[in-house]
Amino acid sequence: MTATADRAAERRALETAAHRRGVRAVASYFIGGTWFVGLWFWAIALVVGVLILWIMTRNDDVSIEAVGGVAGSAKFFLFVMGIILPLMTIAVHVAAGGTRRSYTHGLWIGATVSGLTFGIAAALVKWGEWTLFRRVGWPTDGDLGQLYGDGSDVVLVSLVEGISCVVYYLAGMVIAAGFYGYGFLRGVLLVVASLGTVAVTEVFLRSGFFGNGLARAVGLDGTPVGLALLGGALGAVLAALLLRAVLRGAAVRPVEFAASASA
Amino acid sequence: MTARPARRPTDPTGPALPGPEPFAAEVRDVVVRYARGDDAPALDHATLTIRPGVITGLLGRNGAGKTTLAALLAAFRRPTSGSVRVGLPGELEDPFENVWTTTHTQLVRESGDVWESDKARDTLAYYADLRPRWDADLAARLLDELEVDVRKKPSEMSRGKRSALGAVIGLASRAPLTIFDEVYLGMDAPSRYAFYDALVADYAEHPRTVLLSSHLITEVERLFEDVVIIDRGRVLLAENADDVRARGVSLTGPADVVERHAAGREVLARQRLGGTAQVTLFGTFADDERAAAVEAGLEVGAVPVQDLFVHLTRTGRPGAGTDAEREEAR
Repeated sequence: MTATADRAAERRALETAAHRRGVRAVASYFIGGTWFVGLWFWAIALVVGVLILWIMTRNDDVSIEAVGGVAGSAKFFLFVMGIILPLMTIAVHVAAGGTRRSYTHGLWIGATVSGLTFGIAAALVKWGEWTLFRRVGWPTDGDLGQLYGDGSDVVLVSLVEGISCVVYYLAGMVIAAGFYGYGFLRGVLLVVASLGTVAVTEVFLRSGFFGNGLARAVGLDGTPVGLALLGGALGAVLAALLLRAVLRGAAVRPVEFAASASA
Repeated sequence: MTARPARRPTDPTGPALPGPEPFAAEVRDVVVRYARGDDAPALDHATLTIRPGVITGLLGRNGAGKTTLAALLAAFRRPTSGSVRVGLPGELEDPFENVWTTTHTQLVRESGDVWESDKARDTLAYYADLRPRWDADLAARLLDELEVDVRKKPSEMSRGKRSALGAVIGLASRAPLTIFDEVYLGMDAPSRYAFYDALVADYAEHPRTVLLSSHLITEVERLFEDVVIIDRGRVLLAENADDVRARGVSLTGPADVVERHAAGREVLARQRLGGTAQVTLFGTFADDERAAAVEAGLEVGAVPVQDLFVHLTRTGRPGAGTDAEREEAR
């Protein structure tokens, strides 16, 4: 092997290592940061859910949505985190020698791991509530239509909630990156585009307040579960690709912008 | 809000990795507009070369385009037109989304790129994770010397301490191209001088290319080997610091003698104390003029970079030494 080839190989190895370091740093920051704040979210969500349930029992009108509905709002929490965290981190990442590509890959992993673990947490909460309702003899059927029947199907609930959390998290990131990198007008357009990816997932997963209605409207309410999950994942993939497109050429703005976002 | 990642502290993690030689940089006919149709671009057909392994002073008034130039070199943004290339001498390449060059370029911006609401040690750990040549020992020493408490959040620090944190990041990164953009802001004089001393000492031990943007020209000009002066997005001058200083002369001595020798020349600065005067003149002195001045009892010295900077940016007169002009002359 010639010296030139050695050098090229050495450089490739360094670049690969640098990329991996960047991806790992971003992913671990997002997973750690999301769960650091997320613990508070879950603590508050459980307290609120129990409070709602207590009020319902006093009125003799108990619904399994009391706690389950609050747990299902994890995706909205991640949507907000998706808007906040990138504004705090992109400038530091690039300043530390990272690329937008490693940042994007780190965001993908961070959103996926955070989203799926939040989905599992939501499923566990719903399962716990379902178990309690069953023992006490309260009705376990939900008021809102879902792809899954009730909280007993932990795996399916985890997948549905997890995929929803991932797509909401990524959509929030697209919005943040859109306004950060491209200003108001194009930022607004990207809000619409990101909500489009959310709609794809919601329709296929027939989740909650509007997903079910939308699915009926477009004739997807009869989609088999396996296909519906794939359709939900398609929304997440679209959001991930949109995020990559938005971040690829984004200018790293003066630090005051990011600082103001974190204040 | 606080989003604290689980990270290792900034304890020494072993010796820093050896890296490539100092980087060079080249900017050719670069225009940067922040808005479409902007008739006052941040950089206006800027052309210059940054030599590898030297400390270059990047001077300009507020809004001159220094920060934009630094951002281009560090791949924080792309130019609207023109080319920016960074890398080993003879192997320059586009730095945008280039893992090799971004890994080896460190830009420390005015306010530092740090996590406002996390502890400073978390930011340092992030830089340490990403920078292959990060020197944790040096970082710890400088933090101690500049009295930066890494248990505090940057948002709780004074302006000077935040700047000191940025200075530490810039030095400990040991990047082959290190850019400090107004990093001294808010730092008190002892901290600034401690930073300058640390910069020179570490630069001597670990040669690299340093681009130092500052308004405190008299304080830092002793560090400069090359000087770039930018005004309204245009490169007025880019050349060796000694050549810059030779663009004028300072005459010190009896006031009447000084005035006689200064007659007919462009005076950049004039000071008088009793019967003694000092004038700074634009333009070179021929050998016979210099000899005559010395013979008349005057002390002939180089022009302070600050005086030349004030003069050039006030008149907007381009220096004859910019790359573009040299190329045109060829």
